[in-house]
Amino acid sequence: MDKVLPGYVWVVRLARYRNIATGRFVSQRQVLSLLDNVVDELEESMVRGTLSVLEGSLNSNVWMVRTKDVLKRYYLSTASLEAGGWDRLTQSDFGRIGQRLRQEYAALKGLMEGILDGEVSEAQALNRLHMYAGGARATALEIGQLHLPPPPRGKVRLFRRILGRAEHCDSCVDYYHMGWQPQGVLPVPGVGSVCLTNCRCHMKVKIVPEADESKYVGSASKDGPKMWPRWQARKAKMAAAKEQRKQARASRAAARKIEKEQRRVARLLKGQA
Amino acid sequence: MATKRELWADNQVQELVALGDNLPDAQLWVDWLLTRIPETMDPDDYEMTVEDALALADIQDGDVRMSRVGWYESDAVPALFKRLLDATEESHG
Repeated sequence: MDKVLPGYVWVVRLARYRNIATGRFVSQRQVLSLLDNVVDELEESMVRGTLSVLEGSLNSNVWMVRTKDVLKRYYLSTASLEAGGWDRLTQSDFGRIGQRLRQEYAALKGLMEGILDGEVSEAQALNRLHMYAGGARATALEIGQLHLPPPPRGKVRLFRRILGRAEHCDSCVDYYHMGWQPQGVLPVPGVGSVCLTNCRCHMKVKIVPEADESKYVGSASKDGPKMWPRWQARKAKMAAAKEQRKQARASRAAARKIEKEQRRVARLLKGQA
Repeated sequence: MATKRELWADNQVQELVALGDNLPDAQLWVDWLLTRIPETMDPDDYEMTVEDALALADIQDGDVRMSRVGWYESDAVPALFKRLLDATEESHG
C-alpha cells in the first residue's frame, strides 16, 4: 500500500509534512497549490449545481442541501490540510468552522431566494460562489496559523503577504508593501481586505533570530525594498566577482597591447638592420 | 406503483448524479430533504425554513469521515497526496 500511496508524518516543530518513504518534506508551495486546487474544485462543484438550478433541472432546496454539505466537507478538508492532518483538528477548530458555516448557510439561503426571485443574475451568483469557496480557504489559513508551534527560544516568526493570482485590492497591496511582519500583524488572506473572500493571496513564513528582527521587519516597503542580509551578501559577492572579471579582461588586453607593440618594434629594428 | 413524491426524488437523484455527485450522497441529500417536507405537499412547492437552512452547521464525527472520503475521491488531489491528511505527529522531528 505504501508503495502506491505514500504515508506522511507532520513534523510539529517545523509545521511541515514529511514523506515517510523518501524522508523529503512537502514544500509550502505544494501545500498551497493543493489548497488552491481543492478550493477551485469546490467552486466548480457549486457552480455546476447552481447552473442546473438556473436551467430549471435541479430543485433549489436540493441545491441548498447539496451545497451546504459540499461546503462543509471542503471546509473540513482544507482546515485539516493547513492544521497538519485530520487528527490535529480540535474542538475549537470545529467550533470555528461551524460558526463560519452558519454564516455561509444563511448567505446561501439569501442567494437561493435571490435566484428564485430573479434578483440575482447568473454572474452575480457565480461571483458569490467564488466568495464562498474563498471562505473555506481563509478559514483554513486562519486555522493553520493557530496551529503553528511557538518559534524556538530566541527566535521570532515573521509573515509576509504575497499577492496571488487575482486582481489585487488596495488592502492587499498595502499588506504586501508592509513586507515582513511579526505574527499577528498581517491578517490572513481573505480577512480584513476590501476583496473579502475573493482574495487569493498567500503568506510566506520565516523564522529569524530575535536580535535580527528589525533587519527584516518592513522590508519590501513602499519606500523602496530593503534587501534581506543573505540577498545583500550574495549581490555584493556577485558584484565583486564581476569587477574582478572586468579587471582581468583589462589586464589581458593591456598585456596583448604591449606584446603587439613589442612585435612592431622588433619588426622595425629588423628592417633597419 | 411509484408515488409522485418518489418519482420526484428519483429525478433529483439522477440530476445530482449527472452533475458528478456520487449516488449515496445524492440519495442522502434528497432523503434528508424529504424528511422536512410534509407528506401531502408537492416537493416543488416546499419553501425551506431558516431552521432547515441553518441546520447541520455543527461538525459531527460523521462529517469528518465524509470529508475524508471526499479527499480520497477528489480529482484535485494527486495520488501522491491522497494520504497526506492521515499524517501522524512526529514531535521529535
